[in-house]
Amino acid sequence: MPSYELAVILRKMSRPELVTTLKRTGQAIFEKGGIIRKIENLGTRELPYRMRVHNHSHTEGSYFLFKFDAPTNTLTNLHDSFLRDIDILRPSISKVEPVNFPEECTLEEELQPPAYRKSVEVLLKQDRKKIFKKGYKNLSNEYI
Amino acid sequence: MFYNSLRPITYIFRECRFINRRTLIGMKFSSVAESERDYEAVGEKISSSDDMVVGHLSVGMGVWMIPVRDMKNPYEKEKIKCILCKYGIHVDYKNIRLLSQFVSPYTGRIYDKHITGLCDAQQKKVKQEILKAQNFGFMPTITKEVKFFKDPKLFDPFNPKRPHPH
Ligand SMILES: [Zn+2]
Repeated sequence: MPSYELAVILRKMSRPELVTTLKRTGQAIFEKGGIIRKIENLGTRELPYRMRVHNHSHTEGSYFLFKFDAPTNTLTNLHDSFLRDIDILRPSISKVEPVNFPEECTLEEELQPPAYRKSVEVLLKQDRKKIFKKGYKNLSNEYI
Repeated sequence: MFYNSLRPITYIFRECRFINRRTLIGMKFSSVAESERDYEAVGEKISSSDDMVVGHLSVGMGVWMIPVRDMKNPYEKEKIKCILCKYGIHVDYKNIRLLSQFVSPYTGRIYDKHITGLCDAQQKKVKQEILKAQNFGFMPTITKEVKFFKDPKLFDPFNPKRPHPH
């Protein structure tokens, strides 16, 4: 089971109502055979743009983050169930990505003149005739 | 006087094998006396440990530094790195304050890599995370948020480092 993140925006509600909706979302993950690792409160604030959900426009919302593990084939069903929930403005599930992302910075190589770059070397090795043939064909079709 | 100052170099040349012979010959030190009794050390002896030269010889007026074989080039320049790789910053869609530093306050669009000065991989990552944040409802799509307008600037968009991103 790979680990995922659910960033969910709830509509502005009173505290007991918030608790019940959060319990409902957590229960939905458990029902699909998932495990919740962590729940974070990212605060209530003004939305960056007006959202129109379930025939109501919203300008404020409370942000929550669920970190969970779930089987891959259940994600579409899970997302669909969240969309049908009235209290949820926007549920968005994303994959958790590695922390130290690029192993080495390639900026020095990119700053060199094009003849010394690896990416240009690959371009030079390609068959030039094929590329130009394609280009001419497309042009003739468009402009005649 | 000049003749005397050259003598210890030949001493090193004879005694220690780890000195690069070519460099010594190249410096025209080979024309020193050949008879064996002329060789005598003036300064301290060299202390060596496992193929690495540690000490130095003081001769007459000046100090002779000993050339070391298999040493890294001390004048090599440090590798250029982009800001995110240099400080090891993890780019994430929830960190909108960081992401909005790469967005224009005039047009609300993402700056290209010839302005931001990021490497190819990081620029792609920043672009992806900004789009993610906008779709997930964390970040505005049309403009930059006003509360981030006074944040420190990482680059000058009016004087890009390169003329174009290619
Ligand atoms: Zn980089």
